[in-house]
Amino acid sequence: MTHADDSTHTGNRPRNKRVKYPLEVPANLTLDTESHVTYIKELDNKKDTLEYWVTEHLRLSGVYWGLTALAIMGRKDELDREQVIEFVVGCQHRSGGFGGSREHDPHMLYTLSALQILAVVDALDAVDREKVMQYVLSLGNPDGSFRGDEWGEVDSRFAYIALQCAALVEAADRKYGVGVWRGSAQGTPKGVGGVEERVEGGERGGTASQPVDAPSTAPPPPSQPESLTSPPPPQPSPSSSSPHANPPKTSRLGRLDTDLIASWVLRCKNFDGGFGNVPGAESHAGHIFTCVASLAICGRLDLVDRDLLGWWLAERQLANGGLNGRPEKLEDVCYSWWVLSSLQILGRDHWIDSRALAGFILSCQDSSGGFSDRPPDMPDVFHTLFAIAALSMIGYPGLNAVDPVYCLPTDVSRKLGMVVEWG
Amino acid sequence: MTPFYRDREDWSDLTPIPQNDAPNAVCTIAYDEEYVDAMDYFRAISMKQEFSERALELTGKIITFNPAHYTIWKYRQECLFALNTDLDVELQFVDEIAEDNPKSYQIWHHRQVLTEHYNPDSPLAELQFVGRFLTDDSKNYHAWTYRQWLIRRFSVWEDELDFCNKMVELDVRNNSAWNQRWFVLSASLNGETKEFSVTIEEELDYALAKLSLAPNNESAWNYLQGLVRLANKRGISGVDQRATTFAMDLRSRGSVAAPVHSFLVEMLEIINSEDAKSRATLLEILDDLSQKFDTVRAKYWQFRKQNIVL
Repeated sequence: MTHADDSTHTGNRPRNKRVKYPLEVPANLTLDTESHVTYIKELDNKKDTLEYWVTEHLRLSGVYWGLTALAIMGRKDELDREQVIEFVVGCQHRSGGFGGSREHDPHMLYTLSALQILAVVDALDAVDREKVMQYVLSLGNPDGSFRGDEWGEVDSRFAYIALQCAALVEAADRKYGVGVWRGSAQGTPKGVGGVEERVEGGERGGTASQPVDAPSTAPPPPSQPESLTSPPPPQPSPSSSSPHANPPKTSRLGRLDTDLIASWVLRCKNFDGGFGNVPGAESHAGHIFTCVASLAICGRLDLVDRDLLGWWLAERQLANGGLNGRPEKLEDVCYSWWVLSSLQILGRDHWIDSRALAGFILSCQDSSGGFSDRPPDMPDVFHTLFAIAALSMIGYPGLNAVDPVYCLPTDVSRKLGMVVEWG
Repeated sequence: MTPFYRDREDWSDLTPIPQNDAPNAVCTIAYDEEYVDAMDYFRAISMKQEFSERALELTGKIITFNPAHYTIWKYRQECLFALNTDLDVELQFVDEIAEDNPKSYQIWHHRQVLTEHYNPDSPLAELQFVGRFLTDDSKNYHAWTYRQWLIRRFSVWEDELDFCNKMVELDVRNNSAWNQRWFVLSASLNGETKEFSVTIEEELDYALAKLSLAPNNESAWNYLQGLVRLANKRGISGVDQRATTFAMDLRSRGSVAAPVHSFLVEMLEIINSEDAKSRATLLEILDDLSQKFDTVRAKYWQFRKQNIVL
């Protein structure tokens, strides 16, 4: 593992304060990669269980969790790439957002999962990205916060989702050209694995019937009415042939006003240095991740009180090595990710005992594959991803590096050039 | 009555629409079959955009199976608003769902949407509901967030500190209750709370009293540290000294609690006395933390010590 000294993500910031603690794997516990691969592959074959049906509304996120876990284990080819792309494309709503499954209403949560999946399988040209951004922008509020869907729940998660979506779309626009996707005139002939046969009634898969977009060298098409107050930035004509000719101003990411978003995120900051889901709400490690990673994408980590928050996060470690999400709560494997990624972004991950944490994570493995929140609970794919991602961050041997800001394999975010400073 | 919509006369005008990515799904358990049947009819009825009593009933059934299904909640809200259903009847339904599914945030958002839409004269009934709920599930994140929304939306601050007192009495380590105190305090300091007010000094007294009873309480120490920082920022003197003296007294009486000592490290750094004695005390406490009281974070305490020694 080399990601601990990988300088790509640190930009110009020296990381000389960072101390590397090589992991000594607990002798009696090892990662049972083969079982986990089998567990994830089998998830789609459980259609005779109620669990399969009541998780239908979040299937797209399920695919993201499973696929990313496989990618970190170096096994992403275990899922059929074309099938994955077909499923994602079929979940896009005509508004541009994605539902958790076919025919489900679009939601920010699944819109990000869709783009993350496409990034992992290197297929961000499979969907109309301009439509995706129109959807994301339509959920922005004048104060810099974002709604989850048209019903208006506001949460720091949605600000993070907007930012990562914008980062992915911007990166893909650099790679493929603005407006270029498989359904556009500049893209390759449409139809991925028979997508069009699966689209019914023109209701779903709006991607297939979109008008042809402007050529890649022209300015992007005019945006939908936006609820973010600030006007679109003055945009030079983007050119796919010189992707880095016009780097965006620091306060902008695509059409997002990152200063405005950062100012709202800051309102979620609490007296203990942590962040909640809305202003006033209790500090919670999951929301701390979304807020800290948001500020990292905005280039505003200077707004975080690193030592105060770093300490609060370090205090999440319990005597058994596991991490909880709030004071006086039980440990849960998923906080291994939320806490550790935040600490890594803040350059404070060496403040906790990573060996003890690895021991706890590995103890949450189910004998037939997958990880649970804590033993002896049943495993699920959500906890499986965050367990494996945390083990990668700790430096468990044989795992691919994971990007703490985007929760994507580092080689994916790096190849896309989604460079932000952290650490 | 039959559990299946496909066998019901009042639904026979609709053709169920099965999920189209799973044509060969085999459902071996009756329970599953009921859910799949209901979803097939939901697809059919939502295609028609029918917002009727029977559609409301159908959403109720699906939500009972799967309270996290956001599309169904949204459709249910459209039915409620179209039919102008009585708010109390709906709240009774939500209460039943909430009892079995306290972690589903759709339930809390649904309550917020209902309150916003029906706009009652007083939020009292809702506050009482959330209060009862929190008595059973005292750290429920969504319930606290909804409570804060209600208080702000209707500007009802005067009883909230009493509620916090009650919750801290139930569990002095409930971090959510301490956070709620901060929510009230900062609103008071910002002039949001009308006649009602609370001061940093009053909260200092409260925190110290609770810490004397349970010194190993991370939440209360965090709160105290927040008070010290806020007092210093606002130029209120003496808060840091009182807090430090209190913690030092616990140490001298033999406390081995990690939060007591980590608090002292912060205070000694904030006060930043240059004299040799307090520096020596600080180093001693750091060693105690890394070697005895908080060994899981030994690396952190060694790091703090290095920063001072260097």
